[in-house]
Amino acid sequence: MPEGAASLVTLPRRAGVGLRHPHVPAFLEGERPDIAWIEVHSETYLVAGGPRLAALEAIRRDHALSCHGVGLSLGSARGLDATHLANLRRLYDRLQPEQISDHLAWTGTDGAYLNDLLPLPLTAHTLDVVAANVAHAQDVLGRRLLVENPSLYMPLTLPPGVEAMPEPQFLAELAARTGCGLLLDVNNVAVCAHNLGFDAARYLADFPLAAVGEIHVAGHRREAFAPWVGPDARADGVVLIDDHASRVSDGVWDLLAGVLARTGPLPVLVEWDMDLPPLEVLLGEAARAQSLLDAVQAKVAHA
Amino acid sequence: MLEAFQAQMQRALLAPAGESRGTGVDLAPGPVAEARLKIYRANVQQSLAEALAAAFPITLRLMGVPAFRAVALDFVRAHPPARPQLAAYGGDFPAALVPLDAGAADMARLEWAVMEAYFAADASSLTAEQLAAFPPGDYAQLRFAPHPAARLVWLGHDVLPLWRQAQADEDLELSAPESGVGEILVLRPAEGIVCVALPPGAAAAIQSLLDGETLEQAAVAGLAVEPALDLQAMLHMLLAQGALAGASL
Repeated sequence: MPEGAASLVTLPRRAGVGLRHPHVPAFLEGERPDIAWIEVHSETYLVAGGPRLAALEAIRRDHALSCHGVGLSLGSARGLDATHLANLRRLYDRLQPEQISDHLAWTGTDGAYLNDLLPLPLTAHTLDVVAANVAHAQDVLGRRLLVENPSLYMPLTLPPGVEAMPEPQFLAELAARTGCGLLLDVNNVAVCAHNLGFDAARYLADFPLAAVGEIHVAGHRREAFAPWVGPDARADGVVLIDDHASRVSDGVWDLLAGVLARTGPLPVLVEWDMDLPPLEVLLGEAARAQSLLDAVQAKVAHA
Repeated sequence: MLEAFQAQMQRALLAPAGESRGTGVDLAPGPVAEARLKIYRANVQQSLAEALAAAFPITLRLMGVPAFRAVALDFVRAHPPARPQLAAYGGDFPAALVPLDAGAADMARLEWAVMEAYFAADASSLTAEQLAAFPPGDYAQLRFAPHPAARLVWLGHDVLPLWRQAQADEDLELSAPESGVGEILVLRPAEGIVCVALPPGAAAAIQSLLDGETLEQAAVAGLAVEPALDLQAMLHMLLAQGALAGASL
């Protein structure tokens, strides 16, 4: 890494929550929610002005901020969209977020944005493409980027003679080549492990935790795709959908505890995007994450 | 391989559900991968249709969910967003509604103007005091800089009363708008959105001002449409609602 590990984490090593529109008034009026930091989707705030951006600037004054992108399309074979990069740079200069991130994914090609994080064949060639894109993004944005492991639904089959790289190794090499950090989404690991049929614990054992600057947890749903999937031995016809629409599952909390035991405290975000609950429920989930952080903090203190 | 895969998968994701010809993805062979591809296809098409539903909520109520959904899905397949900014997605949607439902298309045009006004750049508004600083004899030659949020909408249906009713009552069943002249100025004074129904002639005069013409030229344009147009009342309204950001000679 070109920079020291110390600069990898600039957010508080505490629990944060995703800021979504219905909760904005609670952050602006009355007794402010007691939360160390917030995260927003960068693209939601790529507007010229108006009340939405003004509200975020007001909230940002009292909270550390992470800007999480969903549209860089770091896996695009055709490179990054220069206009989008310039727009993001302007937004980040205005908001001065502590950390910025996006995903190991692509979101469209040939001038289209498909509003989804699409899977990449993880090959040596793809690593070259993503590394060049990450380096380009960091260059234009003037900031270190954290790259998140995506949730996946579809197994990709590579042509004969092309070797697949395991995702942890791919991300480790990406971080080593570009100096980017990693955003470890523990829920995505659980979702992919189920959908693609691998062992989440082994994946995490291989994950380059030294490069991780932030962790995400969120809820997922189980869906029987019987009419579509047919006899799916890999997942019994059940697919886990990463919908961020419910509480974090017990299995994901267990995986998080295991990761934190190895990393020590890191910024941990609870994401909730659909079927939003009252803010208290979301803050309750953040409190649960914080209790896991407190537990590892106590262990560090005793060591 | 990566570039070809992305082009192929994008084609598959934008295909109509049930369309299988020419939508295969080489890296996703076999029944499991094909079935899982449909998860992505549903995510892409439904989330973009939902973005349109969020941008055009009253148009949706006017058309009903099944009709809106069908035209929205057709639209997203043919015209996916060009950039990852969903707040800017849907500007061409009203035109796509015209052949189907001209009244709904006009409602969509009003809703789009409201959307644009909501996300437009911030600017302070020209005040009556600032305007009074110009010599009265020079008023005819004044040119105005419009507030970035100001949008003039020319419609063939009287949708504004419906739009207001729909805002006030979320459960109200909306009747089809009647045809007629609808000239509306959409503005964003302070933090809210205001829609002003313009009297005859005012739209022509305001369009002239938005185009950077002088107050005198704007008066000529407005009076040509409606000889009884009250220019002073119009200017007061523009100042009171923050439609103008500056003035210069």
